[in-house]
Amino acid sequence: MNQFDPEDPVNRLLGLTRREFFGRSARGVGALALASLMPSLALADVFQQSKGAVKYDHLPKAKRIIYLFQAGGPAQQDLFDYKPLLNKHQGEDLPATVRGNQRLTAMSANQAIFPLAGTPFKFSQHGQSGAWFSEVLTHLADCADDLCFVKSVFTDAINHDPAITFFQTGSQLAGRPSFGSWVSYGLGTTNEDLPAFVVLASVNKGDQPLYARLWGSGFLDSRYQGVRFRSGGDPVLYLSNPDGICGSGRRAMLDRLGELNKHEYRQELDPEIESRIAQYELAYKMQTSVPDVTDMSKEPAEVFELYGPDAHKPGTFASNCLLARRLAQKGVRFIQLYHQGWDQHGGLKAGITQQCKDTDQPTAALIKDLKRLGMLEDTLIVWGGEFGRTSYCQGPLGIDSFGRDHHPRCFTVFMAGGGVKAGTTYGRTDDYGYNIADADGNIMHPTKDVFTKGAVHVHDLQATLLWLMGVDHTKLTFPFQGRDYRLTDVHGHVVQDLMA
Amino acid sequence: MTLDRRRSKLVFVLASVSWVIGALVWPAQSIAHGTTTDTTPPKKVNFSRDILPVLSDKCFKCHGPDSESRMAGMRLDRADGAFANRSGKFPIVPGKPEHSMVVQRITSKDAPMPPPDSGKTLSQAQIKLLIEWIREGAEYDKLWSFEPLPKTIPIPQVKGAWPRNDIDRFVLARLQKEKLSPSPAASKPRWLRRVTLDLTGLPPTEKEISDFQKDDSPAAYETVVDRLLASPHFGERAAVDWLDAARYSDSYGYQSDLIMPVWPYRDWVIKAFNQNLPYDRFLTDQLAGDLLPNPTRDERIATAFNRLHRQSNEGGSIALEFKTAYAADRVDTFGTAVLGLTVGCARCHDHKFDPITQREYYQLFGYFNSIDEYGLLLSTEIVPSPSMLLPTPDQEAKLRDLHSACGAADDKLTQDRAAAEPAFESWLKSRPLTSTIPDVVAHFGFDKLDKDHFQNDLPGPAFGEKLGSVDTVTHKSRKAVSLDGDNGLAIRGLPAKERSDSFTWSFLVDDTRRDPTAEVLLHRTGGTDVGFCGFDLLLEDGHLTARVMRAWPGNAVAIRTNGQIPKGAWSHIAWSWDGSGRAKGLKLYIDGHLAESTVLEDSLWKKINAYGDLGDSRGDWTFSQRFRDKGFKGGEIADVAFATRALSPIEVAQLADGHSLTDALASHTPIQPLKEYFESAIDPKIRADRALVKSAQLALADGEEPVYEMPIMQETKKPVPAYLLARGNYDSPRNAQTLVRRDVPKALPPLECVGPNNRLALAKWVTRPDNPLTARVAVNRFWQMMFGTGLVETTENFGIQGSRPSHKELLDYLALRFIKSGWNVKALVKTIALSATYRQDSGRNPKLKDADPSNRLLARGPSFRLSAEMIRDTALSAAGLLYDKLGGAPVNPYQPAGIWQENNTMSPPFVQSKGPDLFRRSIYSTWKRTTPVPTMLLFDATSREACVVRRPMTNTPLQALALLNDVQYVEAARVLAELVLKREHSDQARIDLAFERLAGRKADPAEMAILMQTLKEQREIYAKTPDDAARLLKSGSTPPDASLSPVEIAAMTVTVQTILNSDAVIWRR
Repeated sequence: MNQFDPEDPVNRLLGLTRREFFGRSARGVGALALASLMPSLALADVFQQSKGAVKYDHLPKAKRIIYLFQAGGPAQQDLFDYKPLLNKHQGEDLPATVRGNQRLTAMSANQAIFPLAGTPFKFSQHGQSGAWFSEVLTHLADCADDLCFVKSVFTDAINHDPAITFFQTGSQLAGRPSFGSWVSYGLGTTNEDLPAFVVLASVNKGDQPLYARLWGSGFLDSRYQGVRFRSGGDPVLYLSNPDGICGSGRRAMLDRLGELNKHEYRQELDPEIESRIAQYELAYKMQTSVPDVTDMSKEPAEVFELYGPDAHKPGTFASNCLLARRLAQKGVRFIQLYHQGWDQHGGLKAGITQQCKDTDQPTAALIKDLKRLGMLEDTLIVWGGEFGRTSYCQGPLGIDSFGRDHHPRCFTVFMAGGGVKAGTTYGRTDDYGYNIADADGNIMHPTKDVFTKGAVHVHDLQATLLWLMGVDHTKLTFPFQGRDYRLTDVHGHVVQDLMA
Repeated sequence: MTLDRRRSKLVFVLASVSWVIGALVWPAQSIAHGTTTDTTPPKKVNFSRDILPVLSDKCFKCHGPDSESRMAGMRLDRADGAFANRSGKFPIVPGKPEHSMVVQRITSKDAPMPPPDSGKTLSQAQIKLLIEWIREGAEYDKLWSFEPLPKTIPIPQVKGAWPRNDIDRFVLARLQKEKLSPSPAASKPRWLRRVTLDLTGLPPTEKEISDFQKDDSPAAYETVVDRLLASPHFGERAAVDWLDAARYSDSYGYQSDLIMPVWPYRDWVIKAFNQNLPYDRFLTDQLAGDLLPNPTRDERIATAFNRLHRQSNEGGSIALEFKTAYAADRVDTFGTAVLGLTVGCARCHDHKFDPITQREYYQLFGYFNSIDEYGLLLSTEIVPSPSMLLPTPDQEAKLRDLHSACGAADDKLTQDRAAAEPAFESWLKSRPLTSTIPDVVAHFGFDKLDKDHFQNDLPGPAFGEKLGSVDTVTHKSRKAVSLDGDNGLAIRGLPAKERSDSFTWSFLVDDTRRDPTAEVLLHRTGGTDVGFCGFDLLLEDGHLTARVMRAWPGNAVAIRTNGQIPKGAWSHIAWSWDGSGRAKGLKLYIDGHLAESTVLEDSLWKKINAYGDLGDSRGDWTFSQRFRDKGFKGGEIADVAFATRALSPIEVAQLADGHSLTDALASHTPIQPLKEYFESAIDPKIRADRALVKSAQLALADGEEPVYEMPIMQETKKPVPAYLLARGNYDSPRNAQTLVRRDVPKALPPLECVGPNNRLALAKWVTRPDNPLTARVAVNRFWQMMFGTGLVETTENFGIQGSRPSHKELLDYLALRFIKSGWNVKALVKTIALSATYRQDSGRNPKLKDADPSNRLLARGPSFRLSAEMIRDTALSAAGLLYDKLGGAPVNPYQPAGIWQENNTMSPPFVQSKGPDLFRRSIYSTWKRTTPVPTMLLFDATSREACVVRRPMTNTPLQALALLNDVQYVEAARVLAELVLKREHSDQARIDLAFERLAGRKADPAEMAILMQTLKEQREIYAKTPDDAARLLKSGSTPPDASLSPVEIAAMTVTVQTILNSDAVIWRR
């Protein structure tokens, strides 16, 4: 094996070159990230991220994030944000005073009337906190007192592609780094042989698409890209040896390759060669570590029971939640799950019922499981979509066929663990569930430029999540287009009221 | 240094001569040569170099060009702001730091600047510099890159034989100043591989290597460079960088990420580089090819540059939002790719650092929004307008025939009409006295209901159907339907419609609301909620608009009535279409009279009906309803009739008043309308002629249908106004106050346009020799292509926050020569390639490692990892698999199954190419924006979603996995293994050959020993596991050579993989 021998004259030389190596690699990198690159050169450094001593802006409350992204825009009125008034005034036109002059999508902007649509689901209160849950969320209701609801999230975009891009990268324009890549750039990794940022998506969901840019690294180096883990076949693209190359053959070949590269290094004195040598070793390690972490066969039966029957089916949300927990245990910093299918323009009742069947139990299981393992306190779970849905019906109002259009003005996101105030709800909407309201229910008109207490813009949420990870969002920057660019652009306000 | 002085001198002379020989002509020496440059550093603090970056970084955010974020109204980016009298205090007093407020604040303990909460601090050195600058007089001047290029640039006089051309003199002068010396020249094979990869993206062949080795002539290097520049692969190599900048892609990006048909643009770029199109022409064609006099096909293809941005087809999208985003993307791309400026920063507010105001941003925007586009996308088949057809020569001939058939049919109709007098006269004599209107196949009074269906008064399959709940009210003796904007009325069972089918609609309408726009009647042949094609009739504030569309607005015919129908009263309207494909074939009648109309659009090609899964080719027409769109709120409709012919005016009048035709027949006057009636309705000969016109039109549309069509840029007849959009929002007020006039930023030379102020004027401005940016930016990018890093490291930003050039005089010198050479790209590249600077060995030595780790001083040759494309192309080329066909439709090489659709079921499926198309150069792979080819992305290729002029260069373990395990590379290794097994007979010779084909040189003894060992080990392994060997042979689609031993192939395959994965191959040094 070609582990580094510090006495090897080549490696002694390499020790000297590390400064140069980092000096160059980190050229133009913000001070925080630079600090995180310096401490040691373990194998993990070939992701050029650090392990161990990271310079945080403040003491982190969460060490990792599991982000359960619900793509398509879940209807807050049918899940958490209980609005009995809608049922009472079922079918009546949304009052113009409530609607205001806000833009609508081209799908419903031309409707002759905007009939209010009450939820088809029963709601009840749960836990000490008395949080409201729709009847389709029985498992999650069990966790009521672990959850921190934000009922007043708002966003800029009104259609899926721009909105999900904005939520995940802080900009509606393509080409910006994703949230996870910012975190792995800023904080590095806490494991030796897995990427810092892993992406999982439920299979066979259809509906609104996902795009490589959502976990891309944009103008950050591609080493910060999220690594997509797949179900079936190679968990990571190109992970397995080709058919006809056995483990010992590959090992022998890698040893010779290491010799060739070391020989090359002696000629060139280029530290990039050292980095390449190390990468091949990490790649080799990943060939074991990735299958190890994705092989869930040794999980006990009661764990599968906790996550529900789907947990046995690779690629389901349930299976991905369990895998996320395993990745979290291995120290993966940012685990991004996607679950598509929340775009209920029609057939809402059946649609939401199915979505909750997919996600309710596994989400609750993940919280319970982490709690059981003592990991909930430093693992931040985030649940939410790219926008909410309208309180009026899109198209004609039918009992089963009705649906809701996109609604960026207010929607619900919840968090759990990782330093957020458990068993609380922050922010509220008006009685129509159409606008963010103050504590007395009066309509507010928050903007992203000025923080309004009780309202949480996407950039505020991003700033808050980074803060929980120990990062000041105004300091996590990268020079782009001539300025120190950040995830929250020039916006974002940390919502201290959400902190435990 | 081991240079043979005599030889190097000779080479130098010839290299100098090469400036003026061959096709690659640089201008004769007109630049001052031989004056001594002062190599000692200037004593004075240099504003642009020393002060501006500090002010910009630390102060301009609050005290810079952006008026909105300016604090205390104080600006330090201009002398007038900095020297201003502020109630007896002065931010800066030239020569008197002690009286300058700025100095007090930056040295203050109590109220320091920058303020602590800004997160910015000034170092002691920076504070000293600022004070020194003020003491010296606080001279403000422009940023270096905004300064015009000097008229002459003295070339440093340096001693020694090292320089081969002027580049080297600049480089050497700087090195000497730093007490460094250049590195020795790279070995011949190393230089050859370097230059071959840089100029063609491919490794040198064995023959090229040996030819060069054998060539001892002084011109050997130049021979190589000339050969490479003449190779068609030069265009492919150079195009890659520009395609990144132009954000060229084969898919539209956004939601469904449909395939975008634009590859002829990619081929145009390749051709432009191969033909050495002067760079000013290269830019002009792309920016304004459509505005050149009588633009050629190529010049119009080039304009696709401004259509390569992403386009959305997501339902619910607001067209104006996206049209605004597209124009902004064009401005940003123009800014970055051409000017090297972050113009886009001024979209929402004045630029924080560079002298570009928000108003100036929208003045530039005004050049790029003047395009007749819809803003959203329907489907791959329906190319968003404006677009152009690119017929093959065969298709062109066929289209010519079809056009002349249309002309012949028109002529025959005209002739027969002229000759119809006798037939008309005789018909007139025997005319029936009761009026008949042939070809009316449906008539609805909405009082006959069969279940839910309205019954047709006439025999035939047509019927009416309510969409939603529809009320009827009594109208005269029959009924009218009332519409609320959401409900509607479908007329089903009418014949399906293509653009060549004629028809007339006649009905009564009451517009009770008079909305800005209402959809009255629609025959949708394709599209979704995002847009549609087909026939429709709109009421726009009382004006009737009739449209026949494939891709609105550019590929459509449409007219609008000049007059309005009354609000809140019944009118009779009729709409006819004769199937001719031209605007004159559309007619609108109000109350029985032909309405005066204005032509909105008059160019239609291809068919309008049935596209993929979007097609709705049934014969349905709907009143007041379009999927998720506005209907005809408050409208009432009665007495609906439909005919399968464009009725004559008197027939329309009869439908409107019930007597015009009857009266005319009875009285036999007026004659002309009766004649038109006869020709349209009665005369079998003329009816047959009209059928012929329609079938000729249909044949033409059928002939056009398979012709390749791509989006291009085309200026609207009247400029589309541009407005300053507050905060960059598309829905900001557009009014007289926000209206802006097209212009260029004032910090740059004035536009001075003669003729129309349009994109052509902008192109002329940008390529004028006195534009300080264009040439510098271009030269820098070509330098980056060959050195990995530009002379200005921030290729994308020549603004204040960009990096300063490492060799400013050299950059200016090259830029000046570039312009004087007639923007000769190949000559520029050749000069760089033949320089001693480029020829240096890239190996480091301990001194350089510390003195200049990133090689900004150029004391060694450039080394960097091969690009994503080069790595794959090298593997294919070495294996002999590369199919080096130039250009054409994109191909789909190996990639893991299903990844286009795994998270995007709206995406078209990935279908892997077959045969040689699996082995095309990577530039021809389908670039899919939301799911780029994984191995390309892993090696830092861009997704092409936005303009990028500098790729990052990373090393990750995922790259290792791809090179080790991706079938592409396994197959290439195996095929190369078979090749060497057949060609050579000893292990050593085989390894040597493989090594040379991949790494461009022979393995040295140490490498050979390692590889011999590899082969031996692998042979032992596979001898024990022959099944594994057999399985490895199945990699890829190329069948293994049955005459070779599977164990031998397998062992050699792994050996070749070892080489392929080694630094010697993946890096170019």
